[in-house]
Amino acid sequence: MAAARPASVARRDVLLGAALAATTTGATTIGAKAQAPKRGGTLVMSIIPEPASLVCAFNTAAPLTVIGPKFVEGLLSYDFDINPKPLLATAWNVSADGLAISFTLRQGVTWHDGKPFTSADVAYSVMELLKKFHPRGRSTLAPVTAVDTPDDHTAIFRLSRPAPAIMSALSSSEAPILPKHIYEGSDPLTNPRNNNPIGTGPFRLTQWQRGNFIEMERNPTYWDAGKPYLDRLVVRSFTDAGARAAAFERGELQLAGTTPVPLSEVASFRANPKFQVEDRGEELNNSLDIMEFNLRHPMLGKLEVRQAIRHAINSELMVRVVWSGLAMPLISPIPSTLTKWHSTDVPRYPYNPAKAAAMLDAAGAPRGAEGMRFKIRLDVPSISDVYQREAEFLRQSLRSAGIDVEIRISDVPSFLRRIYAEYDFDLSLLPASVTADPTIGLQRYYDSKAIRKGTFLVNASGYANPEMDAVLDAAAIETDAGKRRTQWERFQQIAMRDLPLIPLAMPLSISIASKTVHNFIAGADGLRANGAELWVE
Amino acid sequence: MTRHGALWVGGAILLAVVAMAGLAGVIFPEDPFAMIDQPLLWPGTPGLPLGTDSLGRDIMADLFHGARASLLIGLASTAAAVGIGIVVGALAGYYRGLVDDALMRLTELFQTIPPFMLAIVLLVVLGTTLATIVTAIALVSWPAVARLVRSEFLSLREREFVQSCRVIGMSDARIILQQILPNALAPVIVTATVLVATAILMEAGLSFLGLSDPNVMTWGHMINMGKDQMRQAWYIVVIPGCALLVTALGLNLFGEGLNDALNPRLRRQ
Repeated sequence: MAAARPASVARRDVLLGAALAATTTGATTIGAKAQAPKRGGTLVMSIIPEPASLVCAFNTAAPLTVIGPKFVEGLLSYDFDINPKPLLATAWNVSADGLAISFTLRQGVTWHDGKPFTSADVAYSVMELLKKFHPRGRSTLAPVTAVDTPDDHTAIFRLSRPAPAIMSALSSSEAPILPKHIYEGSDPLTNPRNNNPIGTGPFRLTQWQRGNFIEMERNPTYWDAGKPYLDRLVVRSFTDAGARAAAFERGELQLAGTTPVPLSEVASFRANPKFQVEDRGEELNNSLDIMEFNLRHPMLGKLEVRQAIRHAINSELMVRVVWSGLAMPLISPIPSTLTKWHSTDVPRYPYNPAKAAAMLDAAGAPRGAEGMRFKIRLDVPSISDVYQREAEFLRQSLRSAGIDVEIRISDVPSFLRRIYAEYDFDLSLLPASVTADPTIGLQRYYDSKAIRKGTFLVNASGYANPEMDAVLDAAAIETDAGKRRTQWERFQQIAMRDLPLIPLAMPLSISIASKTVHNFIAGADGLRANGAELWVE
Repeated sequence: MTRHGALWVGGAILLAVVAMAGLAGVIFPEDPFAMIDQPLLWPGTPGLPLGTDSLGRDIMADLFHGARASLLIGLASTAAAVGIGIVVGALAGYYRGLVDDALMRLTELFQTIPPFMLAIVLLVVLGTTLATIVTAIALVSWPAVARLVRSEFLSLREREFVQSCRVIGMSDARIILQQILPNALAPVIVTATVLVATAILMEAGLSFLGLSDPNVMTWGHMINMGKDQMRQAWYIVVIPGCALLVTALGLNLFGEGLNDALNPRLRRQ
């Protein structure tokens, strides 16, 4: 038995390495372009879990952001480096002062009910729907004061201050454009069309059997002539990962994202020639697992203690045992998927238990009874078993350094209330979406102006550093790409020096498709794209 | 198996589990959650007779510490359930009438909800700590005891020895506690042994769903943490699973043996 140990580890690493090499060279999707797309056919995909409605403008639940864009589209789509590509807008221009963004809209686009798509729809969607009702749109689009519509095919966003983040937040899943004639004069949140959308997208709803499946057919009047390639798209929700793995193997399921099968089975899917496994397509989302400190705690308020805790965590081992290797260890809060801004020039904290112990001794926390220095609590939301494993790993890491940790697992609403409304925590473990721009996703965790008791998923640590605030504020309005990169580099240095939170790892969000499916991940939108390009052999 | 056989085998298994629980802290003084070696080492690795789990913890140590928690949860929740059940059943059976009606409707209310579902709801509301798990299991287990005690009381309260107590003016409390209860206890003790087994299994089931105290090592928790590795490392799940099976079997055999010993007239010849 003992002899089999190194061999099995090595074999797994080889498989992983081979699979990673295959995906990073883009063999799976880009290579498929060589083949001419075939028209027709039905594709069955899965989302987790079934959404409450089908329009992703008012709710950002993960399954909704996958299914919504099949019906309703945004102005832009994105390549893997988050450079915008045309969708409903064919051209765009940001003014030199950054205070106006003008979009040239696509001609000849009609809504599913036959009415023409015009700039009035864009103005209405941005000003009346997304700015008011979209959970993130409220802050992302806050600088937009008006949308001018000089003609039917031009929309000009007027901004109160430069806001470069807006250009990476106009995808179909983040900012869908909805028909003014359907929503005007109604309560948008209860509009019946939210369950049977009228959009410009490549698919129309034919049937929704709740709890069972959602069926769509191709939109025959889609603006991109000849597309979509599929005749029908069926979306099923399978309750658990094991059931999805079995459905893939039986051929009942051909496409699913968000790591649809158990982590321990991903390697065998990678090795199986019947399937394609893709790690990309999450560049607009970038969900990190972070551990936030409550700086109000007398010990955690000390910088050396936080740095010592970072030294006590073996990130590489953590990725291996908690996620079966399917996560990226992080050295800064901006992950390497955001190639424009990720920096490696940051303070590093390699795993070093001896150094951690010495730093804790120096910080005035000597070992006491049973070798423990002090005791703190780690709050964890009850999202999945993975969080429990992660919490147990962290507890053991900290215990080895002499910090006793008690884990508290609570349901998500209780967790949010405890952390953000009561500040009743020492350490909290949570997923944080960086999104496509750190101004949208990260500023809220580091900015002292984001210490707002009662608001969820903001700065709960109590961290306040004027230097940090200044960098964040500057980067939020910087229109020069080079200067903005320098600001984000500085941000990462301060964030990793002060450590109000530890970016632990970015779990990979893996998509799996059967070998016959093509173009399933074509850019940063990933499975959140509109699906017009999808085709099956 | 003869009835004495059942009693002895069950008793021996229980003794072994109690010994595991008692010696856990002596043989494995370290934290059972400590990650001591590489993850996923198979049983038989030198120094690790049962291998390590997916976080590199010693499964043998976890099994011993798990025995402690599982027994504690089983015994504590059964004690609480038996306590509630006796009070409710005794009052209902002794006083009958309105008291009986009220208490039995309450009991039925609990009985109509599937116990496991109710336990899940309680834990989601109360949060998962050792105390809330014991509370939740006790709260869903007592109705069976209450029914049993009530039926015993209904029949015993009509016996001559009870009536004679009443004639000499003995108080209700004394009649209930000193006269009827001792005579009603035999079936309750038998039921209690089965309840301990049920409680241990229920804790494992709840842990499997993630509703366990993350700071206490239990067998259910071990199964829950190992279920993702079923295909590569089935032993992580099978070892605590066998421990559960054997313990539940031991409790059932012991209960059955006890039943035969305490109710000689019910012996199946």
